[in-house]
Amino acid sequence: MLRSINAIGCNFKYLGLQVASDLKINPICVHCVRWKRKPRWLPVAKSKIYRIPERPKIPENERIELKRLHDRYNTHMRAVRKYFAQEFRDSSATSLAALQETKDEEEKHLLCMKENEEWNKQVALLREQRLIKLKEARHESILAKKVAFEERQKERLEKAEQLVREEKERAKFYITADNIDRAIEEAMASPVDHNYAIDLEGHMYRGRKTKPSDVPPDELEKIKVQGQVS
Amino acid sequence: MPIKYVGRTTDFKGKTLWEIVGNLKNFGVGRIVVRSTFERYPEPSYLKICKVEALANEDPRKVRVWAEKVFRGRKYPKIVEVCSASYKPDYRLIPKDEEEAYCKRESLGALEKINILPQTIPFPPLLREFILADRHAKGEDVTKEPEMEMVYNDSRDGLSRKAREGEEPNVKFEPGIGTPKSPELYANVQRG
Repeated sequence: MLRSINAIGCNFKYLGLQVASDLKINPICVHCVRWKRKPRWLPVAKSKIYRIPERPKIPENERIELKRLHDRYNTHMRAVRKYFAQEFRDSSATSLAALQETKDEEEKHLLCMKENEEWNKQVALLREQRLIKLKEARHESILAKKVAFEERQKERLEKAEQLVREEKERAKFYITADNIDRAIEEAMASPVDHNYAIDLEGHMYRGRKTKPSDVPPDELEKIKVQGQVS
Repeated sequence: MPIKYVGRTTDFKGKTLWEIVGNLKNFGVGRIVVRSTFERYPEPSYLKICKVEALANEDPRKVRVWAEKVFRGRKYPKIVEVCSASYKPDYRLIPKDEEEAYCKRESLGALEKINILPQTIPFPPLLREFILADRHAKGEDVTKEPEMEMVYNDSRDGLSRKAREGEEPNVKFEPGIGTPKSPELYANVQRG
């Protein structure tokens, strides 16, 4: 083996390669070609061109005995092959047993389908009942919602009408183009003064120019503070 | 000048059929020709020429010959045409004065007996064990010995055939290597 590796190394050396260093061939991974022969497509070697192979000389008794043994072996092997072929045919997909098996399977499948259909029918009955119940419940809830909605709508209408009525009531006091002059005059005639002052005790003195002494002490009003109970 | 043969040796011995037949009067109709290869049998094998048809001179030169064929002392019922093998340099002409003696060599009667071969034989031991195990696993009858059906190639001369249903074969199957034809080869073999 080592010799052959050396030979490979020599071949590589022709190519300018150092086997061990450049290619890093692991000697364990090298597959040896033990019987190296010339390629098949080359002609007969010059040294072998007139070589005539000697015919093998087999003694007659040996020949007939070997022929008998070979014939016997071939006959037996043929029988064994036939047996295996037959066995394969018997067990293959087109054999009688396999066909019977597929038939059985089909029947079983049909039976299963029948049972399944029955189950489906039962389940369908149950489902129908359940769906009817659900439908009724839904119907009722929708009705109730409708009624409630109508009531609400009525209430809203009522409120709106109430509002309209109030507005109409108030419309009598609206200032329009007709009575604007009078309204202005009235306003001018009665000025309103929102100013007031307070002292430390919280007494209000209404009017912009009112002095504390102008208001008699028994008429003093106290300021109301939100959230505080006096 | 002595003939020096170059190249591979051959078992053939003699001339091609055209070389024989083409030199004879009336193309040798009625003469007897022998194929040397068949002369190894003790019984006579020969061709008695009935009709000859010459063919174009091509290489190898063939000739179409119809002949009565006798093989190992048994005459064929029909006349045989020889053409594709006629180029083989393996034929020998029997001189007229020897014809009678050559054809008279009687077969010893051994070939009259047809070998009747067994229909079934026991399986090889290991395969037999496997088959029995298989049957056992399937829950079938294990006591019955499995038998292997035989297949024989048809012999062209009808010297052997498969036994019919219920027929007793006259060739027995022996296990192992069988009965040797040359027992002297096994003289020094010790059987354990």
